[in-house]
Amino acid sequence: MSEFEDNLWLAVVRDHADELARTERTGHHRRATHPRLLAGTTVGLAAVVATAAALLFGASTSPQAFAVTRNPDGTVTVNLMHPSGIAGANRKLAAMGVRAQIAVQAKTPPKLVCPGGTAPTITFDPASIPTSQELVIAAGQPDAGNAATLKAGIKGSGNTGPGDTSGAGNHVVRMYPGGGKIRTNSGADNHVARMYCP
Amino acid sequence: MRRNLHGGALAEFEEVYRSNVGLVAAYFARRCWEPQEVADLTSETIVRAAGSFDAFDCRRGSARAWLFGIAAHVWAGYCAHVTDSRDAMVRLAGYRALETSEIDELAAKIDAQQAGRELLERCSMLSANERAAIELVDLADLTPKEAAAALGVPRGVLRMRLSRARTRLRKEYRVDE
Repeated sequence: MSEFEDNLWLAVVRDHADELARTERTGHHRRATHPRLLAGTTVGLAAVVATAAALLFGASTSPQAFAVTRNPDGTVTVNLMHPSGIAGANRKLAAMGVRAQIAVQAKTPPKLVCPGGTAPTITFDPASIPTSQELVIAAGQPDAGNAATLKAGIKGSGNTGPGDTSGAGNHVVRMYPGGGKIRTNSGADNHVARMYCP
Repeated sequence: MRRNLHGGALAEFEEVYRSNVGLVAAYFARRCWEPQEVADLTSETIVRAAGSFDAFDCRRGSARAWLFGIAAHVWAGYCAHVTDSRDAMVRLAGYRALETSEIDELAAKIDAQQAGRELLERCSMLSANERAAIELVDLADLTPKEAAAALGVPRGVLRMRLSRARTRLRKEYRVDE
């Protein structure tokens, strides 16, 4: 696709991935699924999920392509091994009531593998995502420093809140209500957090 | 069309997008001279499609026909705004400004549609319905069935318009010769 078409697709994914991800198709029918779980209703579900397994692999198409983990401290870790895992990871995030989605983009590399064969990862605190907003994580081309990266931004209107990451290497993206933008430990541009190689 | 039975329709919509966005952009490139206009109208069409993908029913027609139906509405709305207020771009101003490379790319697409634009100009003696039929089938590469779905008319009506339009164009062409 051309650059314009690639960029338009990115915009569509940024603004409509959530809506499309919740659109189910059975037979020849398309129908919207139930509205997303509200943050409050996910607490119980999250607790169940947290005690059930450390790694939640997709059960359908690509069991090795991704993992979504609810950590004991409430943060969520996403590992993405292959672009084919994006849809599954998004379903898992939605099922967990986490307002975050990985965006698909035309230039997503065919493999997302760090040196040593490990998967790129990102950990963030869902509780710090402003209520009216959604963390958008876009799989990007690997850069020189990290074998693969994810860029994160905020979908929705209004301020995204000042933030920082706690721990080393963008382990947790913190966002607070109020003015300001996301900031990461790596000094990356505002509205950008990177998936890193562990 | 590949179905995504395991979850959302994002992957399916991506397939629709990749297969058709170039044709949709070309549709607007035949109508506009400004790359930003082509970009905004294409974006408007795609965004509307994404927002209503749950309502798309492939039993009623192909995704291409469905997209061109949306594109036609976007164009009609845009023309109405231009006529009414000369301010249509304000409505589309939510879309991002293009990078230089994208402007070049869309300018090339506009140039590439010159022949199609000339054909549409030659069709000025046809009715709007006949022009639409000619464009969708002969320029946008839709099948008559898809074109009928895009225009919301029975296939027989589309075939009749197409036949009448081609006959008139052939007649006109001979006169020009």
